Amino acid sequence: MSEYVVDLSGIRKTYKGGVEALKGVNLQVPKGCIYGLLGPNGAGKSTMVKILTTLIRSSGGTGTMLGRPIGDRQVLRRVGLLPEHAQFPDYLTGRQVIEFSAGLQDVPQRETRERTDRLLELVHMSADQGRKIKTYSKGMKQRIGIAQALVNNPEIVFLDEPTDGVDPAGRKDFREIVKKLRKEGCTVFINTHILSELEPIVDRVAIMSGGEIRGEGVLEDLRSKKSGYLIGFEGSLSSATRQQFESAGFSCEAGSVSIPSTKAEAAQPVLDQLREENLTVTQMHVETQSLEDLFIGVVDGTADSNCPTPPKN
Amino acid sequence: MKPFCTILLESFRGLKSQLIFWITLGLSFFVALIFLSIGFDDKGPTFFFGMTGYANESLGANGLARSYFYKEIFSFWIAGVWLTWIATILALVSCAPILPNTMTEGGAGMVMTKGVSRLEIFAAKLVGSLFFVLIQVGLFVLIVFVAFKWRLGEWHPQLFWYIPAVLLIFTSLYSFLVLIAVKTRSVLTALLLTFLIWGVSGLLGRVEEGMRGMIVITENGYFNDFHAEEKIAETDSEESLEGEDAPIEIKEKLNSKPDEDLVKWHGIVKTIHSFLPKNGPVMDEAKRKFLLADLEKLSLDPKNKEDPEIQMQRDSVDHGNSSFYTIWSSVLFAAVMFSLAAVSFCRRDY
Repeated sequence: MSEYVVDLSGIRKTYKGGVEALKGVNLQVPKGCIYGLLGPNGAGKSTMVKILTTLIRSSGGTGTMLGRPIGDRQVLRRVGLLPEHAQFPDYLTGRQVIEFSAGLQDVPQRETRERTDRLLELVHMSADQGRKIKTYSKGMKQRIGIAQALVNNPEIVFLDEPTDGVDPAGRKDFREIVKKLRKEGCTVFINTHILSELEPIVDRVAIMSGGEIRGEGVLEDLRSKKSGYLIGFEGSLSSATRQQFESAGFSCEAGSVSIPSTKAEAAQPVLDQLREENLTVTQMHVETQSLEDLFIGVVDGTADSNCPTPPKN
Repeated sequence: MKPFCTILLESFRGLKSQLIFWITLGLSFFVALIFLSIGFDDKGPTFFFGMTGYANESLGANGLARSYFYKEIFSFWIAGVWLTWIATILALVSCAPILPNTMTEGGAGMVMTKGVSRLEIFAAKLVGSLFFVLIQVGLFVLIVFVAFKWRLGEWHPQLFWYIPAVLLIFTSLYSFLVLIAVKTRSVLTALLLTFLIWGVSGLLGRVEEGMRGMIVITENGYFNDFHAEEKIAETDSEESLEGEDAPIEIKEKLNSKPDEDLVKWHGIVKTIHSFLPKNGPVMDEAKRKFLLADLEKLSLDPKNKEDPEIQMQRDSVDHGNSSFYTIWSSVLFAAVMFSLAAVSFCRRDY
């Protein structure tokens, strides 16, 4: 049995008309982590979640989720989903939506009430539970959406664009909920293009573009690939020194040199050279690449060589 | 079973949330009330619980035609217009969005990712719609049933045949609507095409009926003259039958054969119509059950056995295609449409 909760190999999806949404995706999601799937609109993120939750069939490839083959409906009783553009019956109250989800997943009646109360409290919707969905704001609907996704105590929960339309307070709450789920051992799979949501909480990320995974791994590892020392100075470099730095792979800007290494020893020769040229060093620090830079680099194709990608079949 | 019941309950909540549900229910009660308000006094029939009326002693409380009058109002206006047309259209409009709403991107994600089989979801949604119609028609017929007892002093349990008849009419049309809705995900397209197929089916039914009538006339040599057989029997010789004074019907009977083209086209129209829902004939089946109960009593009465008027009335409601053909071809149509829709619903991407 796979050690991963999701283990995909060469998943492809071609829609009618020949649109290739997924071009052989390989993805492994470890148990108990917060996994972020990043990508611009149209990258194929939602298609992949839909394949995992049986809403669509893949055109090829194999995979398992919670040890069962992709497409097995029974396993969905152990899975939670907040779909993108979730459309809950607007004539139901918030509480009824959660109970409806519980009923579909065969949660016993006794437990439904207790879980619904607990989840309403978790998403801070207890006070508004009796109002009809049609009277809710987008953010309130998303909160109810998260609650209904958790009513079956899932082992893995898919949240597709969960903070879409949610205000800053709601986003903060969302992050707390996700961290709490991880603490309870639940794997959280977040699909988003809002990078700032993931950065503080995510354990692993995959960056998707054009139906392919372009980069995957632990966020810190991915960042470190593009991290390094930045040394600032006053004055200007001689052309010989500039040429020397550039040939060593450093990037030179007016008043700064960037070294693609986080090791202090690598910066020492640069400091020596700058002092030799009587330039005053004003600052020196490790510059970490933001998730956004990483994302843009991967999507643009400028960071391909620096990001590890899953093996192709 | 719990997921099935959950979907069923949600469908009811969905129906209840629609204004058209309450309009349909309100109109049903209003029509039933109007029927209930028709009564009889010594002078004639009264309307709106005696507020108005007109003098006609034969239709009065002791009049012989009272029962006939009341039943005609029911079978022509209530069953023929309200149940067959208006109530069915309202029910179709009410139930049309049920499946397309489930199939929207966000809606499908809510229901189809919970481990419930798609066939179960499909079946639950259908049962919900049919149950809605059953309740509406059931309550309506119950009120009418009480009205008959109140106004005529007789129980007419045959009225309850109208419930399966309306349900079958609705089911056959709804099956087509569901197929189109599943294919196109468009409520409007599904409704328009359903009304179109309803119209085409009705038209073909009329054409087929007309052609069948022509063939019968040609084959039998008479149509309305139910004394023709007696005339033939009473005629002494072949000469007088063939002579100029012989009744036209008798001459036609002796000389005519159905036109071959007519027979051929009738066969074609009937074949096409056999694949379509048969709403008029299905309703006629219920009418037949309802009216035949009385006519059977009359026609079986020895003193009426020879009365050609009664026999003709009996024939007029007991002609055409067989009940088996009418009912089972409609059931088959619905079954095929639902099956195709179910396959499409279960196999498509959302």
